[in-house]
Amino acid sequence: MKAAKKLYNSFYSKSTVLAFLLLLILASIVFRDKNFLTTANIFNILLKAAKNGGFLALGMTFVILCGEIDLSVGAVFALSGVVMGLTGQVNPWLGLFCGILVGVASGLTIGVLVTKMRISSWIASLAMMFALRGLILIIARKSVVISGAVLTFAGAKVLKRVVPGMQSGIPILIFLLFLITFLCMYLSRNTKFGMGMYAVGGNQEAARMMGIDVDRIKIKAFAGCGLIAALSGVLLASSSGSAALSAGNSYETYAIAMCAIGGVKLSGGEGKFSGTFFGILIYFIINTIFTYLPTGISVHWQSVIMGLLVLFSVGMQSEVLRHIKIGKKKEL
Amino acid sequence: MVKIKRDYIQIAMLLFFVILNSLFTPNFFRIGNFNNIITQMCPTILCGMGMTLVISTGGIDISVGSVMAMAGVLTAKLMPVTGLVPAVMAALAASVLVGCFAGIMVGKLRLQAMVITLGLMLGIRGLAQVLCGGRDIYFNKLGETGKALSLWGTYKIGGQIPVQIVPMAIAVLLVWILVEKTVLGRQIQAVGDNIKSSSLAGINTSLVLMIVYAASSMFAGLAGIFQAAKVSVAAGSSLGQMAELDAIAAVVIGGTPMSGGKASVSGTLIGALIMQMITLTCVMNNIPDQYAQVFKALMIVFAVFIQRKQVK
Repeated sequence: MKAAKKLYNSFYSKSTVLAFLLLLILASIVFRDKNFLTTANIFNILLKAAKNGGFLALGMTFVILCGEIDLSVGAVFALSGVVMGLTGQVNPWLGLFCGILVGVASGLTIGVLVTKMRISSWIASLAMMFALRGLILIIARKSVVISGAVLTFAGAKVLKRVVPGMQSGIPILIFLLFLITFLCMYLSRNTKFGMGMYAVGGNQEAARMMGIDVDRIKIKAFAGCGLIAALSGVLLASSSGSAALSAGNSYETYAIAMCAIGGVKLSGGEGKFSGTFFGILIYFIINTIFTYLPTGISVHWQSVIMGLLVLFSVGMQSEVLRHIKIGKKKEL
Repeated sequence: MVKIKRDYIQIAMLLFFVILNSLFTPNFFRIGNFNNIITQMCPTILCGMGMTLVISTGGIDISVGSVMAMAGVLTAKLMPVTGLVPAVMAALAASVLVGCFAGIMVGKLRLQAMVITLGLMLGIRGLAQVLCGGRDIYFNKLGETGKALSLWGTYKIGGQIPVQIVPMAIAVLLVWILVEKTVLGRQIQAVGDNIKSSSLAGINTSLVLMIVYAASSMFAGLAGIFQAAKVSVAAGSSLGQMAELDAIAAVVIGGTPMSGGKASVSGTLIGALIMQMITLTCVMNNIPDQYAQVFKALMIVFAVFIQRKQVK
């Protein structure tokens, strides 16, 4: 019982979980003749989330919790795949290492620019985005083909013939998505660094007076974000067998939106990785629903709905509304 | 004194680029080149003026690019039915409505500006794409009114100066007067400095914020219409893409702090000019686009870094 309660508490962002369940039930009722709620389709949604930038939202959560922003994740996503493909031709292990190193390096650079040189993270990461997009075109002329057993590891599937409906096995990308989510949850809840992030995002000056090394925590958060973005790019390139130069275009916007839907406060200090995880799922369920709709409806409504969802999910967080509901309107 | 010093460093940077260009760039001092600068700067200046106001209240408006697209597409859609001027008016009214909505959410409900405008950015971009049905609207297929709107982007005053200078000059002048000479301008900066104390001092903060966001959206709508007119096509997916980032960069290079409380209109003008100079230096010296991007990034960081030290 205690364990169950603990598990429940760790998924505290109730409204997000509720929205997720609601969406899932609604979709399965509306599309019941098209087999929406089948094992294969659910795994398909998870795979889509793991491939198309779901990880980026997890990384972004680190930075947003510290009260900063990172616009360069989409560019890192593309660059890491390209670097992996190019250096992987020399040695596959070197390729994996360099691909991920790119993300850490760019994250560290942004962190130093923001903390030591006191440049707004909007500008620092925007400049990094321009620079990395340029760099991609400098080092590669066309998309890089990725081959070899080591480099295409993420395309592998495991547990063949174990789960009903998934005879050909479950892609390991899905396990990685869960693994990294749990890792992030552990980091944010059980470590000094995680607690520090909330303190810095909540009130930077207070955190500094408490003796927290604010700069160090911010740099770590940026590096973590870069690391996860690079990992995500490496995984996409590895599972699809090629690294496209324009991959991840405007994914940074979607990553921020997933965080917002997941109940992460964008001014920092509040929010959970479990919330972000459900935010990611909600995003990709809507994305999948649009492939089920009849052809007369424009796919661009998807963007409209996503925008409304972001507005709605933050609107619910408003302090003013909360006070009206209770019946005592406080002076804010 | 400090203010003069800060302006001085921006002008010094601008001068640095002008001198650099006059030494290395062939044909830099051609009138055609200056006309090019004016046409290309138009959306950044227009959005930047609104963005200066928004950032000086401590907020941010990342929906301007999408509002540009919506205004452009809406004008192109309504034009054949209603004629040119009503269509432009309707598009501007729609933009102002979007801004008012953002202002109410930020001012009345005290939500974070970034999330609200992010939601609007996604939503309005989608709306623009739905409106134009996934296809670009070419003005030359719209008959006489299409030609008339194209003139808004290609007409040259006296056969020389591009028409874009008119909205730019009006916008800069209006916002400068607003910030420097009016009570509302004082109130905007007060709200950015400390929203609680300015509320206690009797400023209607939610009204001020609504006006600011509405102004930002209106300028964005105007920028969208002029940009669409310049290229003679309204494309829901590509019009105004990244415009918000250009505008933010111009504002920050211009010395308006992201934390709010201070608006520097002349700074934003110079910031936009510096950005344009960087692009121009790369383009006119045949530096490949990919290297130009890296160069641009370095220059932005450098410009902001110098700013920061001077302010401290």
